[in-house]
Amino acid sequence: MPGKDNDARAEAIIGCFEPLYRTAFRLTGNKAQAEDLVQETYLRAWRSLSQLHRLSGVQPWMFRILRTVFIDQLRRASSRPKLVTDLERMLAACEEPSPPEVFDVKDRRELDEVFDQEIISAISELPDGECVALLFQVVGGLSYHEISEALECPVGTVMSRIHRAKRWLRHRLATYAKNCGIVGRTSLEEERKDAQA
Amino acid sequence: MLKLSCQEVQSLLEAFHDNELDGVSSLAVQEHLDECPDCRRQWCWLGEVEASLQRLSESVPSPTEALRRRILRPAFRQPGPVLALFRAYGRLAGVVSLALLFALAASVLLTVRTGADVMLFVRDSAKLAQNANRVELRTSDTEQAERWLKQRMGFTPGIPSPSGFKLVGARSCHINRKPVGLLLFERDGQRLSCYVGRSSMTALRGFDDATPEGIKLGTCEGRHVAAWDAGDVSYLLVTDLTKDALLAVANEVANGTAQSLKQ
Repeated sequence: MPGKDNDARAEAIIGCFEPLYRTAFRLTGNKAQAEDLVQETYLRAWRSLSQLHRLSGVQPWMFRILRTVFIDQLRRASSRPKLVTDLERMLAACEEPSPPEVFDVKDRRELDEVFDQEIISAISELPDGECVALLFQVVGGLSYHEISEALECPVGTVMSRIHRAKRWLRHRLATYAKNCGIVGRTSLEEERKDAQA
Repeated sequence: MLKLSCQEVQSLLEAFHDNELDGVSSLAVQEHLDECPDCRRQWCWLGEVEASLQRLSESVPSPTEALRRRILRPAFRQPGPVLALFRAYGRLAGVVSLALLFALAASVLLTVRTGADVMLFVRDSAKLAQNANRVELRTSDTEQAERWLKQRMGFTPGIPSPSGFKLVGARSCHINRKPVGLLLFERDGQRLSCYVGRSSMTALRGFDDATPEGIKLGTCEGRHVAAWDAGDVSYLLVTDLTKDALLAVANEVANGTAQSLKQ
């Protein structure tokens, strides 16, 4: 029954609203643009509802449309500056700091607050491929396999992109936490300093 | 048992955290972490990053109710009437569209064909005779008219001086989407409209005769028309004189414009 199939599909795509909106918000960085993005995504989804063949694949399908719309909007605006275009090169160029010991944290609440600000800035520096894969996983709640369907690339590529993105975030946040003096030096650094002395 | 190096483990930490590793790899990473303090530190720091990412996801403000209503309302979900028609009767709608497209193309072509007619000039001339205000520049000075036309049209056509006729004025306009200048002459109450333009007016429909000198002649709505090309400038006369009288004027003016071009 095509009518019943369409009802089931409609229910399925409506169920994606919350994760789609959250992801759109983090992709665009503001509410108005996120709403535009989600609205256009749903407009296209309703129009091509008959192309959704598997209900189990509804999330990757919706996120694929979201990504396409997002890229279209970026092209139209073409004003999203990118500071980092090659993460591997950037990470190789700077000395990756040994991360601080978690128990060295002097003020837990302060750390959380500055991290939440700094992480948004660090994500905005990611190349589009890494940024989209990361947000689809962390904010959209998609598995690596679902992301690979949404981005139409192999699972291995998704794994690499998420690894690079989170490695960049680890590096950025560790450097930031140390520079701000929120965390102390690591025991490893203490040992090195003692050895030099 | 699979043994992993620190480098390998650190490249798998994110997938390990996200439960995306197979059982063997997962166990190997766990065993390595139990034994290696450096990798364990990286692992703990990744936990901090993941916690921050989690907070980032949870702190997204709620979407507006208007957005929910917009994307869920039936009108938004259903295709427009034209699209629905296409979906329901794809082939029929395709045929109808093609027919409409063909009709549109035919009407455009027909408009273009019928538009390129001496009738347009004859009617413009008749309107001018009824309403003298349509003359933008009132002058009997041919040099002034020449300067004015140059300013309006970007080129200086040779201004004709038909014997016995006096220049009344000039105007610039578009006929059949082409810019033309008009010089209005008068002799004993009889008027002579002389159109001048860059695109050839001898190719218009409505001429039924031609002289050996290349002057095309025609009649439309009781008025006689003569046209000729002089270099890259084209002239068209409309008058209520007799055909012979018009031909005499046209011959004289054509010679004059040809000479003025040579000069």
